[in-house]
Amino acid sequence: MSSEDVIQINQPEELSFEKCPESQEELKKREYIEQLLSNGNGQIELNTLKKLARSDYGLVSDDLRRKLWPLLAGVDVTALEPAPKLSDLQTHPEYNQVVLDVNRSLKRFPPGIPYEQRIALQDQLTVLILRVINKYPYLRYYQGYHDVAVTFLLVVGEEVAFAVMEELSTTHFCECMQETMDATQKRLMFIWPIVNFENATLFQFLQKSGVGTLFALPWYLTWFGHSLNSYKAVVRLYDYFLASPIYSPIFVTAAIILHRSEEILLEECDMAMIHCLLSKLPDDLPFENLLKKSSNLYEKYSLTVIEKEVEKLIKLEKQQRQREEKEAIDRRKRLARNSQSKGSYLLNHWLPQILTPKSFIVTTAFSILVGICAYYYKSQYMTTGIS
Amino acid sequence: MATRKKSLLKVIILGDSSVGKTSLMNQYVSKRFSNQYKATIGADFCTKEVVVDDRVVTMQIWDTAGQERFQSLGVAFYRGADCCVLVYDVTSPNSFKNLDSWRDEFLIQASPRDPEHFPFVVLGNKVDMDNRQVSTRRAQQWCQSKNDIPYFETSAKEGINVELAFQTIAKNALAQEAEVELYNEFPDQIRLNADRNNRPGNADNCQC
Repeated sequence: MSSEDVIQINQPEELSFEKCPESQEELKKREYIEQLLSNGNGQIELNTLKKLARSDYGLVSDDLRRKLWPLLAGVDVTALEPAPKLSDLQTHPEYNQVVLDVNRSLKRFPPGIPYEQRIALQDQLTVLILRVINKYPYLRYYQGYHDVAVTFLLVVGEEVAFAVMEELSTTHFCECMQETMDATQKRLMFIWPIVNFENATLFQFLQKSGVGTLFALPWYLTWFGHSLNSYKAVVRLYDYFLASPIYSPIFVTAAIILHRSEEILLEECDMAMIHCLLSKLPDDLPFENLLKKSSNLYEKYSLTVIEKEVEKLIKLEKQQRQREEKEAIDRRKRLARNSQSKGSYLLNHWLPQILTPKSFIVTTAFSILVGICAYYYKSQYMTTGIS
Repeated sequence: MATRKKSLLKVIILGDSSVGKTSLMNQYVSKRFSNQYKATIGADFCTKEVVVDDRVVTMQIWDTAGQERFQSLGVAFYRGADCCVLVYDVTSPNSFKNLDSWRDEFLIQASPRDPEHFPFVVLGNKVDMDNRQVSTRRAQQWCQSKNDIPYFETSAKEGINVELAFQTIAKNALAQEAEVELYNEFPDQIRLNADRNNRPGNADNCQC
């Protein structure tokens, strides 16, 4: 066997921390927020802040995020507890899994960061995660939770990050942290009614492909932090999600799918091909437009209506699965019958060959020959016997 | 049969977190190793065209998340698998112990037609490390007890045995596929055939 052609490669891509020069609009917005902050003695009224975080460019810079993310998350930065030592948490049952994932989060750290500093931050990340699940034993760690935690650790530092993660884990991410992923799986299906209401052709195409929702799982579990290649885009989305209702990532996902509809409809209607196309987020997604679209979709469709549609979909899928299972059983039964009749077919297949005219002549001739021989031997024996 | 020309082998890689599933796939497909792989969330796949017994086939290799809580999400892509690769880390006895449950889980979820003879291949990865904890003999015994599963000791980092292991995977997957096609001779099975026809023959479109 020789390898002929390498078609598709899943290489780790560098997370781009590239600092683009601030645009005129970004500069204007940053100065406006700074002005508000200085007028309000380091505080901005929550509704105003939410609007700022959701509108174009979000909170613009990490310096502003450091001050404003805790406010958005509803965290009191004056009442923080000091972080425990890593050694105090090493006996936690999830310790090994967390360390494995933290060790594989290198690309989330800025390139060129000194080795010692990175190692120290990774230890802080492990502590941060274990601290939350230690405090809330009913919350289960999932792979991807570390992608959320690292984003906050790098922007607001370990102590504030703990308070923020504590808040988010008991609200936004609490469903993902249940014992099983069943609730998350159902939540992801909320994408489909939204896509269907907006573009029924696209919805039918995607359903026909059987693509499922696995492509969107890392997006939902990490607020896209795991899947985007631009640091700037990650923190921009975090501005939006911190200031938005709880299931907003679902609406952003739907907005992305709708935005890519032409490209999707040109692809082969096949599970693998569509999964592949959807899971790779293009680097040039117009996020400001997509976030506006997402907010519009959220306004337009009530969660109750979406949930009813999801129930219908689940019922249909269940029926489909039962039908397929029944077909499979029937097929196997028929297969068993066919192989039985194949046995008798073999017999019938050979018998006519034995009974051809040619074989009939040969058999008759042979019988006559045996008869003659018998007569000859009999008469000879009798003659000699008598004499 | 016409479908033979468009062979697509679906291979699923399973095993605990951090045993090297993504690294093995990437070493095989692109002959590269990186220390910077992220944990896999959900599932990704790579495709590679290979020649097995003078036949060109496309191998579609599905890489999965290792954390147990993601297992139930795999049903959709476990189905129709032609071979399942079970990976453990030779420096982690736990990852070896869990091979049993990965195998069982696969058989339950994929529900292959003939579970007794479904082709598995076991890879003991990270043999380049010097803190090995699972002996070759122990692994071989386990494989023998499970209907003689082929066993390879690999290093995705150094490319040891990776090509050889995947050759066996492709061969066994192809044998499995050929058997499926044999059963497809019956007219009432054409739908299955049609499904296979719809699968991508030319994976050049894939941009993952």
